[in-house]
Amino acid sequence: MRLLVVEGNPSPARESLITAGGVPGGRLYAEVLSGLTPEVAIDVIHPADAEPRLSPGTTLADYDGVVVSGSRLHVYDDTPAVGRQIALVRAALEAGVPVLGSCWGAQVATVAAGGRVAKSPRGREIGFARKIALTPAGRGSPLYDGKAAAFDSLAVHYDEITQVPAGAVVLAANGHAAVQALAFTWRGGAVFGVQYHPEFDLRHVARLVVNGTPAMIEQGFFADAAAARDYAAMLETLHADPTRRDLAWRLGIDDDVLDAGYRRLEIRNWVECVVRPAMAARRRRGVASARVAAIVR
Amino acid sequence: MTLAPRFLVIDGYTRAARDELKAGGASVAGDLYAGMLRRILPTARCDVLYPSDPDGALPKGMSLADYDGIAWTGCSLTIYEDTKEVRGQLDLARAAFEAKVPSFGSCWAAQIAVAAAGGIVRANPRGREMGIARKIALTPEGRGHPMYAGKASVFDGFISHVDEVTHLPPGGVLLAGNAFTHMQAVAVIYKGGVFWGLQYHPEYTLHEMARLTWCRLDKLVTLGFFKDREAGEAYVTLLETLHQDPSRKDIAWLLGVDEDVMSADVRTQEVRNWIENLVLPTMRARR
Repeated sequence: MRLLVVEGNPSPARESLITAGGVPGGRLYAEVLSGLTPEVAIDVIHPADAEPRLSPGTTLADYDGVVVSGSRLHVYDDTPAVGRQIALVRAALEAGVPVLGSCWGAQVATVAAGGRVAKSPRGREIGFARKIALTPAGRGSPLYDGKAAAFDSLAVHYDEITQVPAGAVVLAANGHAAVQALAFTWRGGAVFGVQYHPEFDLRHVARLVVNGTPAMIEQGFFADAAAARDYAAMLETLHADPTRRDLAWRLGIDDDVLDAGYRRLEIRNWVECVVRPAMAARRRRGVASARVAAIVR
Repeated sequence: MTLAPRFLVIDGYTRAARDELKAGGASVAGDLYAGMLRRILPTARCDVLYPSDPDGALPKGMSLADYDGIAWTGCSLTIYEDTKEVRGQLDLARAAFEAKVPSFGSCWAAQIAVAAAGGIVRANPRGREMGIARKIALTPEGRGHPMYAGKASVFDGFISHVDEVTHLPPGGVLLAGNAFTHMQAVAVIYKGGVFWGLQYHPEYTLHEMARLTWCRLDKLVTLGFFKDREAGEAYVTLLETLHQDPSRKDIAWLLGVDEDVMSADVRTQEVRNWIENLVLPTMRARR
């Protein structure tokens, strides 16, 4: 299985997170995907920095799936870093390659297919995205096979999808965002987008808090820097020792976010129910590059 | 016509248990429930009955059938223990069903509705659910039920319990549940009477939860909810601070709470729906 991970952030945002002890979103996704499917080969590209170049002799159609990470960018900003990623997602979908996007990834795919994204009137959702409820379509989707009808996940975003592309189906929502997950096809390529971050873990959220403390104080999430340090330390402690039931109870979280297998279930489902069948179909037909989504259907 | 329904509030706590709550600054359950009913319906007249008291009795000249609604509070008794207090309340619940007075209640109330009508309650194998019951999700029956009109399909509620309903009685309908407690809400029809019961507590506030946590602090430390007393006291302070100043977004975010538990209107939607759908029509039909 060959996957292309698209790092959504430009270099300065990645550097800042690394300085705070974090892992950039693209690399994080690559690690999670490697853990889910040991036989996978993953390339990571950085189109926010420059025009992306694939390995010599490789085209988008050679990938079995494209995964787009989160980003600090806003998809409604008309900048080259944004434009290059919209173009990339369109090219992948036109080549019939399935796309999975978290947060920015879902937003950029939405805009690529004609939907809309805007700043959330409810402000920033950060840390835990609580009470995400599957819609009837979500409950019936293989992407959520094994997931409860209501669950928590991890999240960090200012923007939200305000209009889904034509034919898209909303799979999940919560009190903060009316679109927490959606699925659609565009020009033969299938998109699964989640507003939340199933690829994150508590440690990653702790690093985001450390990296973004001044903004979070200004936004009212913390009274002061000490409160932010305590919070990040609590997340780190619980990450290192998930049996600290007192901390989990205090944060109001459970295995939805503490159990990595359950937290990442929708990523696994996408790999197993979308990417793998498409691969198998392509092999059966002996075509090196094909309109995969069309074959799956 | 002025709407002045007459409620009977049944507070099953023993006198000793009520005194313990009072000493910790918590409200007596009967007062808390009567206060909630009057907040929703300022004209409501409420009598409070303490059935665990040896001298607990209805006001002179009143019978169960004279009330337009019966509201049951939580209680620290254990329903599958065969004691005089428990037997007395089971008899009372059966009499309320037979009198066809619409009944409603929290926690112990849901358990007594189920047990009185032939269902079963046991200790929850997952232990104590304390503080906030998270991600209570309506069943399809709950989504269509009048008690949940205007309520979200997934919500949080205040909670404190160790027992749970394991078997519904005939005529019982499961309306809501979460991962910790299969049955978070039930509607029971028995002998022509209707009882809507919640395992969670719409009558609590952040302040009452803080006081209850304070009263149970040593037990909660033993059970592992807090590393030590100091952590428990810090938590109580957080709840009290947020209660005093609901605009403290930082505390609400830290605790992971929202309007589900902080807004009295959202929290008591089920109670309002009970009054509008069962109590007021019962009253009008009688007068």
